[in-house]
Amino acid sequence: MNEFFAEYPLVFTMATTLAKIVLFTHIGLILAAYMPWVERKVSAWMQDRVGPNRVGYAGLGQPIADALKFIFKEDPVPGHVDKVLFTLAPALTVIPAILVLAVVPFAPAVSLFGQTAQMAIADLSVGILFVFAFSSLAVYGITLAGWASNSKYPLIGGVRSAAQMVSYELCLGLSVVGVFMAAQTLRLTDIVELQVDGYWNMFTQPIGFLVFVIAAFAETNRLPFDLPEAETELVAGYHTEYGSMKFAMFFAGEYMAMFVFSCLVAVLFMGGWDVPFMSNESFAALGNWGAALGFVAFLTKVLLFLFFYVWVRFTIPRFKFDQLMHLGWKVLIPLSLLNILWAGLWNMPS
Amino acid sequence: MAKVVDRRKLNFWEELYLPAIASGMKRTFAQMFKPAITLQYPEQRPEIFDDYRGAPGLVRDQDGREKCVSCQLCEYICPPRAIVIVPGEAPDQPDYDYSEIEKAPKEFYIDMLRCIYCGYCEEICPEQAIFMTDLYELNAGSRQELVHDKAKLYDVGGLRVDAIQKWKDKNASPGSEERKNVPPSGNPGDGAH
Amino acid sequence: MIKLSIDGREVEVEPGTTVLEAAATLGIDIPHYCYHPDIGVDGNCRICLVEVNGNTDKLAIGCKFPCGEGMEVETESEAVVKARKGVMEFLLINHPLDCTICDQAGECPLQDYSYHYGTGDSRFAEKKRNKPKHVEFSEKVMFDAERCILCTRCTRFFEEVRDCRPIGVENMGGKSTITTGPNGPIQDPYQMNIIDICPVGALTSRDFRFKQRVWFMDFADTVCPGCSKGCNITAGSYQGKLLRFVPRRNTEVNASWMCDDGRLSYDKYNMPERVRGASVSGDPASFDAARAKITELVGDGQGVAVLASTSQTSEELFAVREWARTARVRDLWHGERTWESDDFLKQADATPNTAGAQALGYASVPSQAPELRGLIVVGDVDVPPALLANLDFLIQQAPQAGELGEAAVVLLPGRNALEKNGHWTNGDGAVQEVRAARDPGPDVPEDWTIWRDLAGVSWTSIAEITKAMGAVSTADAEAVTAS
Ligand code: SF4
Ligand code: SF4
Ligand code: SF4
Ligand code: SF4
Repeated sequence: MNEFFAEYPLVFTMATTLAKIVLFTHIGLILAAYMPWVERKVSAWMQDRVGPNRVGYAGLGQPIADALKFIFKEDPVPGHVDKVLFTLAPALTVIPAILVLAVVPFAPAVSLFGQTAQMAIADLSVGILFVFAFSSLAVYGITLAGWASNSKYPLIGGVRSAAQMVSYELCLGLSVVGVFMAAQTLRLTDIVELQVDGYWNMFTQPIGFLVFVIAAFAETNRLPFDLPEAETELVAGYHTEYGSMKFAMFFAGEYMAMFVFSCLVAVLFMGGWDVPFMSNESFAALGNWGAALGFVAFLTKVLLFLFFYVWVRFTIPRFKFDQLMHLGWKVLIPLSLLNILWAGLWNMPS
Repeated sequence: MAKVVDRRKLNFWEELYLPAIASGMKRTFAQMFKPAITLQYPEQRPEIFDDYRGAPGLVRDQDGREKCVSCQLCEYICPPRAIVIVPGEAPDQPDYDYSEIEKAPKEFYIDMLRCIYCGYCEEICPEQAIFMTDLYELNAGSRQELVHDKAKLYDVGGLRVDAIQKWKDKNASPGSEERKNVPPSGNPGDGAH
Repeated sequence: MIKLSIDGREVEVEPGTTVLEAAATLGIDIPHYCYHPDIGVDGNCRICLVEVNGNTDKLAIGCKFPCGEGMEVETESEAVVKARKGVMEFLLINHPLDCTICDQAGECPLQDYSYHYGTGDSRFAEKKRNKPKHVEFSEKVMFDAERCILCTRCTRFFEEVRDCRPIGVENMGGKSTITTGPNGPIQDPYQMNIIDICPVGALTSRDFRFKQRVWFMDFADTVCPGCSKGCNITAGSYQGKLLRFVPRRNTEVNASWMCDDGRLSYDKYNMPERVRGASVSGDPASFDAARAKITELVGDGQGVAVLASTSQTSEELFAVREWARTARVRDLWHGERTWESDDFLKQADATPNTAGAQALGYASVPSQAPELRGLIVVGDVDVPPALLANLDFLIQQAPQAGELGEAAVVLLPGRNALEKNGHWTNGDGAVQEVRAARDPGPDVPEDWTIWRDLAGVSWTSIAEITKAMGAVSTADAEAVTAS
């Protein structure tokens, strides 16, 4: 085997890449499927309720039951919609979210059959740009859904979503500038490795971290920033006219986006796969066990952040639209600029 | 005139909102470890109190007599207009204690999809013929089934034993057993007629 | 002229006017049961007591007390209210708590005045009087002796208006009651008027009994289509279904009365079976197609005549005439229908608008009818068989097609007499406004629109036609409800 792969490294690359695609996207998809369950359970606990408890042990079968329901439900397409865009929109929210996963490094490099495999599907040198390029595409799905539905509430939802995404995209981009300045690279693996040896960025750049987290909530349309679907005012916002699997795709898209942003927070600010008091050498010394440890550490951080998402949702009420804009433009953007200044001072060559 | 509400000026930390958010987060987190108070509905049933307002039903008195005289006051008062009555003449029974009533509903419909369980019908009924029952589970495969007709309403309402039997007492002579049930005047509307 | 003041307001009246009438001119309603403007004063109910010149010891009955120069009348003073409360208490002592099953509820002065002068409680702990509760006065009228307040309006109606005595007061004191005389059930063909004038629910219509509560019904002030008297009526309907006619007071035409035949005729205007939409040669067609067909059939108008019903309003007849003029149809005839007249209200002409039709130039069908190519039948009309011989075509526009319908080449819908708006001229020349009491539902446009479209005129409302017809004097006299 070792000789075979040494002779044909391309085969190895292809095989591992395929394996990584299957593995990582499934982690994402399964998490996206079980997040609603977590969300319902956690919210129930916070509200002195029981939560799903009918299907399977502790309601664990609920996501499967829900999925089956979505699949078998009638798929209504209202007569007044733009059929093509109406069908395209749900896909447009899921696909970018999954694509972003491609550049996320899940663990330190693994060595197999004498070869080394990076634990990111594609360890691009412009990783973070790729992330922004694709994650901003998700707004198309939502805005198109609002527009194609051809009715008032979805349209308002879509318009809100566009405004919100545009404003918060800015903060999001500016808040990570400090990270590049510190790392002097755009490759996510390098950013993680730097944090493993040094300090996590959330400690060196607390303001950037805060802005990024807030913007991440806004980018994923989660409470307190779920204005595009604000049930109390817009029925269900952009997906009012959707049902069955199309609706489920919006649903999945939202949770995928949450997962992706949790990964990004972990990678950019929380040291990726780092475990406190470990360095790159100690990971390397442990070999593949080190990679496994890193993977667990990374997933733990992601899960913690996902829990944080849920926790915030059931604590903080929704913003008004003017407050949202005020926060984005007048508070977060100046703060992220401040963060850039701070990062510059911190990393000044002494 | 507009009323100006003086708002307290917030200090720096309050203005930041972050402490408030943190204390909120603390609260919800702590709440996660409190026991659930939910009732597991189909297995566990809530306690139904006496003045509970479930589905309205028509009642019969202890003689099994239809009490409603189709005066249509409930139809009039019903805020969502859930009630529709087709009034009619009661069957003529000269020997019957209640032959004076003359009027009875031919049909009586309550659209339970419209009913808002306000209980006005019970309150206004001059014959004490319609009552809010403790029936709270209403389900059906079609809208039509949820329009309760007269038979269904009597099913829901059942039998009710009355202290005062207005129409029967009416013909009883003063001092007789039946008349004793009637409270003296000073209790308007309760049979002092 | 006499000048007096009522409740501090000055009023001038003819000598001999009663206080109650004088107050009515000021819009002050003095309660009354036994007094009725069309059957005169009796003075037995005592609810109309008023205070004259501050005399609180001896109140006067407003219905009989004549106005005097400089009199000062108080209709709601303390003494008056106290006295009325006393009267109400006496009336209610033995009155059954029957409002729940009483047809009068909702239009019952006893109820209304109870709100003003009742106590809501009773000091009467003894047993109430029991009296017979469903006495059949005839096959039309039901009597409930317990509810009767013995105002004798009913007996006085027969004595003063109908000059007969089929009912009267029997027994004395607490036992007195109204009863039919030795001749058995009431026979009079105007007997149902006593139901309206009975201030309580003692007399009820066996036809309308328990059909619907009046407060759920819709009412339209219109004119009875039964005969050329044109009695003013209020047509009551529930959810589009006519349930009763009651007379509406018009001193110029029918006072407060109407005949029983007219009153009971309401059901035939409900018309579950009727012409809906247009049809040509028996097949449903659009109105456009029907109109085109009519224009084609009528051609130059030679040998074509119109036979219109005199139940059509003058506006509708005017619209037909307008079309006939453009189509050069010269013969405009009106139908005839008669029934047995009597000495009171019923007229021999059993249609309401013959005078109106004649005023618009419609003539009776000549005894020697000219040779006809085509006939256009408008409205509910009996067609003389002679006219139907040798016809090329028949066009019918009517609410119900009847036997003619099969022969009609073009059949158009129409509204019946209770679904129309416009004016009728009665046999005495009084022009009275007619208002629709029900909506026939889909595919039955108003008659005049059909002829307007045929004639190519641009009227948009019936009021415009009324104007076009010239000044129509509305002798639609003051609509005082008969009470
Ligand atoms: S239920 Fe009561 S209020 Fe309703 S119609 Fe019958 S008697 Fe009247
Ligand atoms: S409970 Fe209220 S809404 Fe329901 S039928 Fe009675 S009056 Fe109507
Ligand atoms: S007559 Fe009037 S007061 Fe008497 S029971 Fe009938 S509605 Fe009630
Ligand atoms: S039946 Fe009616 S009109 Fe006749 S006396 Fe009695 S209350 Fe008066």
